[in-house]
Amino acid sequence: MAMGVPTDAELVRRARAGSREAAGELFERHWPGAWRTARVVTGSRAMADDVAQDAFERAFAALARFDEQRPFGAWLHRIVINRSLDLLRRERRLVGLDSPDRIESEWRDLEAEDRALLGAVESLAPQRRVVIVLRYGLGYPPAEIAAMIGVPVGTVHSRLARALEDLRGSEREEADVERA
Amino acid sequence: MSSELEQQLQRALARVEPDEAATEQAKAGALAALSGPGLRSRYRLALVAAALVGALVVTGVTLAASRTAREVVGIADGSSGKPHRSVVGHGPLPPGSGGFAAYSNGRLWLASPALNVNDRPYSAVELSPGAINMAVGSGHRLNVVRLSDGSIAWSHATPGRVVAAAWAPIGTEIAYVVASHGHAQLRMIEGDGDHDRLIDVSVSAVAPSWRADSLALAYAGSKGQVIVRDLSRGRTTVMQPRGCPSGRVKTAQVAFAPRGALLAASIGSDLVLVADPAQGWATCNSPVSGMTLRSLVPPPPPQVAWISGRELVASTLQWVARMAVRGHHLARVAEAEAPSGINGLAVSPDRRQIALGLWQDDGLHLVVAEMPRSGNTQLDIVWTLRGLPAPSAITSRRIARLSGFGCRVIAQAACLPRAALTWR
Repeated sequence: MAMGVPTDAELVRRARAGSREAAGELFERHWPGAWRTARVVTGSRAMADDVAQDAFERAFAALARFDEQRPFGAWLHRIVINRSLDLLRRERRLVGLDSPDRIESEWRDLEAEDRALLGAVESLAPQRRVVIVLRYGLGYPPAEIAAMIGVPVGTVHSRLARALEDLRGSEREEADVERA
Repeated sequence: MSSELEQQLQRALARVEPDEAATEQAKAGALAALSGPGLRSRYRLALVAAALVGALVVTGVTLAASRTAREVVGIADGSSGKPHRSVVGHGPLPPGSGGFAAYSNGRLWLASPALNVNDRPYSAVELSPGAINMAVGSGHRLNVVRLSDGSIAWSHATPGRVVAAAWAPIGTEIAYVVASHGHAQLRMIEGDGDHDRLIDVSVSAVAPSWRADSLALAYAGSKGQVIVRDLSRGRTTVMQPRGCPSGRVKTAQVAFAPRGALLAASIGSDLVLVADPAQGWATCNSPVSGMTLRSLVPPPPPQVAWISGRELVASTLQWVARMAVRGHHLARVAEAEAPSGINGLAVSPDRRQIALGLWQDDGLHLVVAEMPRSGNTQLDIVWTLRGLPAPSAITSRRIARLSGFGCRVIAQAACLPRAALTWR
């Protein structure tokens, strides 16, 4: 019998039957993407740790109710996005505490070019950060993003286009500052 | 076809990765949640049970299961069977208060007349006198927030992560501790954000404390020694207490009395230092009687809160002792037992009540209790403020993460995150 890489659906089935090994593999497969999504949407490493773990715990606790015909990754990422946006909404009142310096320090583990770009991503509206990370961080096509976040595909396209335009504007501003 | 910007985004986002510690904790939490609510709940109970093992061994008290602990709280506050009122972050303050803050494990819960904060991450938090402002450490910045509207009064870049702060009683200065590359230093800044200066280049990451006249500062040195800096004379004194262990000690808290010049500190796992730096004496005292502090694991350090210029409360494990300074020592006036392990202690502005954090099955419960009285050994809980998140889900990751800092047994009592309560 050929020993291929098990699909997510197979891992979900085995995990539901009690296989911790399968659940562990499912975690390994999807944790980086879930955490990346949470970090970009929340803009905070600490919050990303919390949100991504919380999303995984919710997903695994609800695995018995999960429709295994659906893609596990998309389901998980939807939970991550909802939890991230919930957290941001809950903390909106003190959003003024987030200074540019804090944003800079949050990305300090990255190289300067990436740091500038991700800092600019963080300055986007949360809904635009969501489509950016799903499209360019996780590689979802616009139609799947639309299904995941529950908006028409045209809305996804327009959010992506506006987000990219904002990022180009940030790049231009930065270049102007450097020239000045 | 992708634009250059899109390709750059893909490259940058691919480098956004979680660290190993967070990954390990998340995996453990996720796998624990796998088996559904029943097992998940048992996992939580197991965590809490493990957390309380140290307390059980030490006190010899058979702490009942989580349900019993909750009932004890319910009976004591006179509202058995009714849900406890939850106020921090949601509603009114405890009577007579200008602000109440609970800070635990990097998260803040705050109630004030105009601003509530519910579970927000900060690296340090301290309310100003009168709860007018709040100093918050936000990574490498010290921010002062107006509690009237949540706006920032000023923000200051610091040479390290802000890990503790203390307002001078007259409100004109803030002493704060920053940590960087494993070292901590004590600094001071004016209340308007000006004139930041270094006070001591090597200290412990413990909140400093101001003398009532705002002219002296107590703090923990890098070897745990209790140090007093007289700011008016520029003189530094290292306390040499009698009855304390020699050599390196762990000082978890320093606290000047709200009047006069007496100083208290939490030393090691079971001692409270009391000192009069001006008179040059300091002694170590055991806060609770009837206990043999022998355990497989070190118990969490005592916590102290002053009631007046010569009287304080100190907590160890499940016990709160009211103590008075007699001569050069602390004499026990009263002691009371809480229904579960204590984490966090504060005295009310009117000095008649205390606030405590109590570990329950579902997390840390903030309660208000009457000041311990002689002849009553049961803590009289009058009000439950609220419960902070359970040591599962989000918190379990942090508890487990703490295990990487020398706490090999996950969730042992000494490893649980300490809560700092401020009641203004």
